[in-house]
Amino acid sequence: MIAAILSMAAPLMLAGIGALLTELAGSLAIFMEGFMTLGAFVAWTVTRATSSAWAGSLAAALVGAFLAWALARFCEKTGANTFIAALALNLAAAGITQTLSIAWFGTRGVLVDERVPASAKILSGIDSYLVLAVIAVVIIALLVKRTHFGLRLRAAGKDPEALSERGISPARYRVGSWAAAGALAALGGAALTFRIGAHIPGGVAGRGWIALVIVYLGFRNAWGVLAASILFAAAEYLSGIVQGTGTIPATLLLGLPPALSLVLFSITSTLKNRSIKH
Amino acid sequence: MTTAASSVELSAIRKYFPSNGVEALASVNFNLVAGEIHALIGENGAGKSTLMHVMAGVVKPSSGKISLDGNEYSWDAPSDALRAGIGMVRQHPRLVPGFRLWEDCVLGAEAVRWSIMNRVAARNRVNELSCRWGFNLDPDALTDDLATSQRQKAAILALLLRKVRFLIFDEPSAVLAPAETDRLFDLLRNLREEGRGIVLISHKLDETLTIADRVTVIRQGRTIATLPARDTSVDMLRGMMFGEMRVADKPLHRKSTPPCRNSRQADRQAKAPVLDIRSLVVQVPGKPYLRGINLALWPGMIHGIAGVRDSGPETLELAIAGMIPPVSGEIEVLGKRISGNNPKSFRQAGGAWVPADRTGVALALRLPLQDNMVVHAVGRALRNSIRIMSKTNLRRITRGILSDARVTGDPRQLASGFSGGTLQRAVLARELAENAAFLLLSEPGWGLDLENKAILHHTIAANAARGTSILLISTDLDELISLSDTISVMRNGNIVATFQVPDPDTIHPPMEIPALREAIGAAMTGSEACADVG
Amino acid sequence: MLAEMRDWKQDKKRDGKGVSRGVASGSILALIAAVVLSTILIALAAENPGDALKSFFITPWTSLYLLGNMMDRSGLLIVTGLGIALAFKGGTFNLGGEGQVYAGGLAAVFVLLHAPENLSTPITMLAALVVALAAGGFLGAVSGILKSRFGVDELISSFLISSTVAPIADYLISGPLRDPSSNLLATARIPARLLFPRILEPSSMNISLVGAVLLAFYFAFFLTSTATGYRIRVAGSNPLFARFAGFSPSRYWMPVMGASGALHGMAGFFAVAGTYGLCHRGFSGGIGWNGIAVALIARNNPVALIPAALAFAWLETGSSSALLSSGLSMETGTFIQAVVFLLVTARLLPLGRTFLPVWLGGRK
Repeated sequence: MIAAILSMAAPLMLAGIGALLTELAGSLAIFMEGFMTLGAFVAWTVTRATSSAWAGSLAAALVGAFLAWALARFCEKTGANTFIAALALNLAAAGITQTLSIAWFGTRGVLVDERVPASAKILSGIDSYLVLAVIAVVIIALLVKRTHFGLRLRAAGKDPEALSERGISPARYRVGSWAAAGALAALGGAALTFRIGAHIPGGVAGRGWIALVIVYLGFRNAWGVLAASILFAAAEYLSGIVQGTGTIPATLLLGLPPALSLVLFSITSTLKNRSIKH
Repeated sequence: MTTAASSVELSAIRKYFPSNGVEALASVNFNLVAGEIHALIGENGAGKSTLMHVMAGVVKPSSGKISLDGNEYSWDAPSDALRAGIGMVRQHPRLVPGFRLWEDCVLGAEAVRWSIMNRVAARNRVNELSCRWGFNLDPDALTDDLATSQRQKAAILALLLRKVRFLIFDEPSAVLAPAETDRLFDLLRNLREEGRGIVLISHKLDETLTIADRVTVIRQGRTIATLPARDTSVDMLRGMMFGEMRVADKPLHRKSTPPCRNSRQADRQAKAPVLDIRSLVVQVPGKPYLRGINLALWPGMIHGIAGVRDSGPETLELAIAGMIPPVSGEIEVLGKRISGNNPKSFRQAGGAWVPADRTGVALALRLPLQDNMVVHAVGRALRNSIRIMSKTNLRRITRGILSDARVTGDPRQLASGFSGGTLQRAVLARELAENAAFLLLSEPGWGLDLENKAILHHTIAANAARGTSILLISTDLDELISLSDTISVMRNGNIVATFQVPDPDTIHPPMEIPALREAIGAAMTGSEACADVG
Repeated sequence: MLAEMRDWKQDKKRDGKGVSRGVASGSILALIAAVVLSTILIALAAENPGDALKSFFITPWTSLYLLGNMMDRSGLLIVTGLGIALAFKGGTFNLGGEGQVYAGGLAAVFVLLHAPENLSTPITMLAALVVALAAGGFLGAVSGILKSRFGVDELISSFLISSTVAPIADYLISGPLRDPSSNLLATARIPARLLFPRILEPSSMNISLVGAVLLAFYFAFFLTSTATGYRIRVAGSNPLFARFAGFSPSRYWMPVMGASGALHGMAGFFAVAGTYGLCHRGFSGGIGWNGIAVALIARNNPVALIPAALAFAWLETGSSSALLSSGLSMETGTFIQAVVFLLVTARLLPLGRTFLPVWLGGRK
């Protein structure tokens, strides 16, 4: 059971840690949902073409990084509202994947192919994406707290003016954090594809939005994100069990994660605001 | 550490701000040599800060030349100047909130490395520097917890870490206690011994002369003189700062104001005070502290408040307007209590306010100018339970205000489409149109040219003649003296002196005015022997 | 941090003159660019580009069916666009539109299906309207209160509320409220007398369009000519100025979010009782999100929403008709949406100033 929960936590962890980077840099990326969708699709497509899950994952990460970077630069150059731009990408992602799915595979439904493995495992039974996710969390935790890079990243988020006064451009850190978040979200999507071995349209099912909540629930801290991801994964697992017993209809249970997120988000926001006041 | 020829030279610097039409620097020459402490002296608004901003790369000059060690430079950002070796320590240094002291000092001083930084080494470097200079700072302290003097030291440390050769200090001692100032000056001397060049902007002429090698006086965007400190005296400097009475301009005596002003003095005691402030103590983070203000205004009186930046007038203004809450004490307008954090109570008590921060507080730039002009009218309509606004009515009100302000242009345009000076006039006209019993005016003449300023001053005087009580906060001494009946000077959050402005229609001759200017200047700069409270 | 929709160029000052004109032409530019992009896409992919382009530009206007559907759609977009614009004017952001439309539509259908037979039509419709307004309004108001009382970012809270409500509505429609006699995942059909009369048969255009247009004019009036509307605008444009004027901007957050939600609920009512005649699962798809796009295009100006909604509806209709005629089945709808979003928010104007004619905001 624990293995299953941890496995479910991997996509959330990846997307969550990516979102954390953008939040620390001062420009929270709303596009996590869209990039997870894109990543899931790209991973499936490339793996099918190359028969290599590694290639698929890499491709997903690169596509995610590049698109997010381009989006960030677009915003910077044109002064566009970053939030709306990210929203635009979210909306486009589903359309793009559907379009490509139809164009390349002739269907907008579930895509299955034996070349795409289900649950890629290494080390005899440990989900490789879980390993990746945990490594990512550790790296980012160290990066943020203990390197000069992390110092500047945090400064960019807390007081960009102070940073630019010292001769460092906060914009570069914002753009970089978006690129990293794009890559990580795409990897999170890829994790979803590899868990089942198929691409399911709409399979991301709001996890990108939950990743944002995880950032706050984890008190904007890498280890907190880890913990919160596991918490949400546990909730997902439980709801799966309940679904199995058929007592509460599956459709209804889909509303549980956002409801839970809402409650938790409200609580943490209130607490944060109270502490600022004092 | 540096060669003898090392210097920073600013020639013929001009700086014009198109956004508000202000020419902050007309033509300034300034140079700083390594191994000297060079004091920069001038009134508020004279251009000292702007000049140093040019030197440190915060703003680009409209014209003029910057050279460092003989080479011409042009800086796009403070970082460029930093790299060239010029750094600035502000009075309220900008440290990253939530960081530890050593993290903030180290920020940007090292090249970006992705490897785990040696926190211990970095922290120790900061600690070692701090001890060497006698700062006694705890490297692990959070920047939010530091007192202002400590923040200054932290900023200095950050510059030292980056091996800056020329340091600019912007009025550092204004926020320090005398003992701390002594320590600061020791530090400046040490830095000088090391061969660095230091600019010291200060209002405190006495103490500045004890440490400076050279002094440059700036007035109204021009260099008046650059002299070795030993060749000057406090009086001479003050004379150069505040200038002699200008004969060419409109004379400062009050023949131009309505004649019934004399009688106001007599019946002032008879009526109840329009503004009554008792033992006001205000402590809001990020703003100067008010340590116990007592003030009373009667109808028809214009009371001026003078004071250098950050000595209290800004906080007083916000407290009276009800924008920030006092810790203790009372403010009453027309007998009604102003509750803190409730600007509505100020308006309802019968006050009108022209804030110093016009575009931030008194305007909504994204709304049409007309919407900005009718804000008080709508408020009144709501109080009378009128929900629907007649467009013709609103247009009429707007037209009235704008014609008073001599603003042309379609008021349906967004406010952001009008120039700064125009918006100033519009805001003033709007508040004056309220015909309030009490008018809180902050820097009314700021950004206006001479002609408009003169018209404004006439209007203000006329309002007072009608019985309006006016509190005039201004850094323009000419404006204060020509309009006010009495002037209070604030320093360090206290009212340290109150002067009666001589009336030219009485037997006192106009020659009193220069003496008044000197006395005000003295009170502002703290050069007379009065106890420093805190 | 979230609520401050950070603008990475916010320190750049624009030269003030002609800001309003430049702003409008920015929207026109964005629309033009979106059209150009779509036509390129379609022309490239279609076997017969000429046919496809004709279907894009001409057919929506010549086919009564398409024209009517287009008008009907624009009516719905006007209402949700109004909701978004109102929220923006008051300094908030309603991201829960989809859920509010869904809830409003479902609630209205419930009333219309279960109203007693002898109750007159206008009264029943009115009751349904009220319920739709209440459903959407409640959802919006909760976000508003969370913001004013607890400082919870309304953007995220409204979205999460909507995401919670949607599955519940899905479940209700697929289960307890489902019409067993049909294959659709939908409620039973609303009795014909309780539907909005059609204007242009056989399209779905109905008189609710008139209501939408009237609402747009009403809100234009409300915002510019009433004291409350004025205060809402002041609160949204500069909270400090609001305090200067003597009131607290947070007082208006709940009412504004509530009204925004109510408008979305009304759109849902128009959709079920006008366009569809029943409530099928996921009917609200896109009405909420596209409302945001329309509000952006119209720069939150209520009257400008009318042409903006029409333009957007045409974009949708034109592109799907072009696709149909060329035998493609691409999902360009959301793509176009996204492009419009991006282009509308970007300040392309400074870049294009040198090339545009002066009357569009170009430089001399």
